[in-house]
Amino acid sequence: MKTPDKSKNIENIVETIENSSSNTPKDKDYCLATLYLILDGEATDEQTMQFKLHLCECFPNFNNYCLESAVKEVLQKRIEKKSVPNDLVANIKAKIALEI
Amino acid sequence: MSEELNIEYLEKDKHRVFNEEFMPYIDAMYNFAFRLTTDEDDAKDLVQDTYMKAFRFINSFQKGTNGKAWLFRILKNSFINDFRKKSKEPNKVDYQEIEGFYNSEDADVDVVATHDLRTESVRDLIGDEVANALNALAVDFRIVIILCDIEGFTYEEMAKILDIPIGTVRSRLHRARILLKDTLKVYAKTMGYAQK
Repeated sequence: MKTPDKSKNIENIVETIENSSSNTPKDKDYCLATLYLILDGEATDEQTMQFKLHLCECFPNFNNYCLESAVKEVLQKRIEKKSVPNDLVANIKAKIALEI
Repeated sequence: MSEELNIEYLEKDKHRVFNEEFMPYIDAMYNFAFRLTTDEDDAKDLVQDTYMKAFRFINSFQKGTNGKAWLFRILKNSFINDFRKKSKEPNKVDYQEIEGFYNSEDADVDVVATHDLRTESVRDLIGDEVANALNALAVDFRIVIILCDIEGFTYEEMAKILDIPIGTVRSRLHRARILLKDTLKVYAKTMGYAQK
């Protein structure tokens, strides 16, 4: 017998809350723009404080905040950092020596 | 940017400035070049070319200013002006069309399109999937994501590197993130994590 899928229930609840939100597209654009400023370290203290206050009351924005943070985090941490080829620095220095 | 100034360095100072101000960024430069070219040999050539240009024009660099941003700007310009011309698929982006679209009412369609991408789906993605999603973006969008999210440049630094206004940096970044989320959603769906 299949056990009830808890994550599906949570998703349904999230969807219901999102659909019932009175946020207009313009509000959403403004919130997303402010969210990017905060995540990118470009927001003023006042913008950050106002957004965090709003975040506590606004479920869609809280979701957005989590999603955008997760995307930024996977970009920073999951993408493989390539090692510089051993001969690259030596090649650059040798070419510069020829320039002189 | 600082290259408008012209300083006459002595020959020994040129090398000192080059080694102290530019060489520490070789890792970041190589990774940036690899993300743009997606080929190790091409990345190597591009970095080498960038450092040679940096040395030749070192008199236009003011010591103690942002060497990393200066190098990134040279590399980006070399890639766009020289390197990409040689490529079979230039992957050209019409900025006016894109930025015009972003500013239009239709732009909200994108928000809806990415709506069902879940935070947990993103967290379950592996590095290759994230890298592939990033590489699937048009190069001009890839660049803003790399500069902001991977390299941590400020909007002001990005504006200087890309030679565009800060407002354009923000709108291009916004659009790039929407496109990236769309691609990540495809990966998440393939893995069965996404909604629908």
